[in-house]
Amino acid sequence: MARALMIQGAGSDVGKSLIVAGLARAATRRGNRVLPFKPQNMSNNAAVTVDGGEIGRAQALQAQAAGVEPHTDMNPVLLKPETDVGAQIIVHGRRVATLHARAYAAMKPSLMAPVLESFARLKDRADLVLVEGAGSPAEVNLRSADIANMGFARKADIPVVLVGDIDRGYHCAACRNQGRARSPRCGHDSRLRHQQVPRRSITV
Amino acid sequence: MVRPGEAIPGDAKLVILPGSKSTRGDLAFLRAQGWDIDLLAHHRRGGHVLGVCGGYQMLGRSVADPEGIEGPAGETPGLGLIDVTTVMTAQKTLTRVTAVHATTNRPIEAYEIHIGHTDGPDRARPFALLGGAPGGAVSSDGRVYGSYLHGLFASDSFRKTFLAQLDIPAADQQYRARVESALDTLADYMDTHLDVEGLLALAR
Repeated sequence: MARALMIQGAGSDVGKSLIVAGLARAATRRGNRVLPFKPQNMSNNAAVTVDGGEIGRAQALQAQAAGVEPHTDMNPVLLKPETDVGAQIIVHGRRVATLHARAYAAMKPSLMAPVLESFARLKDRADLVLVEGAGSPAEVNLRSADIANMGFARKADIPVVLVGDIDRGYHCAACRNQGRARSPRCGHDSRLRHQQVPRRSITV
Repeated sequence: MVRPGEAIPGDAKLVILPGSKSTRGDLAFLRAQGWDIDLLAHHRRGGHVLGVCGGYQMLGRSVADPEGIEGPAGETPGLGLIDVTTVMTAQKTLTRVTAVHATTNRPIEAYEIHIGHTDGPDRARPFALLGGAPGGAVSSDGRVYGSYLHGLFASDSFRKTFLAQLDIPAADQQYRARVESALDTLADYMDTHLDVEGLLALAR
């Protein structure tokens, strides 16, 4: 059974996808069988998988970083926004509905099961599953029945590393918010370490 | 990349109209930017145009969405550079394809993700052959191409030959190898600047 680690972001576009891709390649080069996983992705940039479904492009790149073919289990829920009618809801690579945000919120609790099924299948065929969160876990309005960030991490019982962009800041706020509000294990505690990468900085 | 507020450069040899998740909505945006005027002027000057997926649909005479699948129901006039029309239907095409470019005979590894069925007189001149079946369309003057093949320019031999035909200088690049090299560089960078062993040891 594989081990797993989840990378969450202090915000959208802080570099989660590339960090996971880089880690996937670094871990693969160490001889691990690595698979990427993102429970829920909102993106109109999709890739077609070997099993004839679609997933976010970032997961397809991460699959390449891990030296494997992309598979729908790597991104079991994909949301593709459309004009005025809401977003296409893709589950296990197939469109199941087109919904507005409120209707999707009502559907979300039912999606934890397919997310966990995909995660379990990936764990069965890997040494390490690298999980990517979506947006920021500090977006409190999206926490109810969350399947993308701490809701998934807690359900799957996997450790979380928070990635931030030092130029944008708010990674400490995200940690602190998370620690106070919902998840002591993700709190601003002694395990919080800062590692800075020159230019675009990464906080771990 | 031409950004909102910018004009399409008058000296371009080829303008690529990429895909869209909301063809009619994005076509309205394209017109609001004045790019329809730029495109028609580009074509009148002898320029070439390639539309991929949603871009192909925009290049036709009209895009109809009678059932309101991708946005509000209705029909939008296209740019009229290719004599085809598109009707959105609920059926979604989702497939990886190996094709052959019709005029250069070069192989194309690509994928299709789209709704909508496109047909018309210019389909008699296919852009590519998919397992022998004609795909896409070319205008009667041979300067405007439409195709549903996403990712077509990742095929090195096709890209080089296609651009050479249009008298566009193309470097001798290996797409897949470049992505592989970028992933290795990313992993090297992370190995240098991050405690990768420490991060991987957190996995559980």
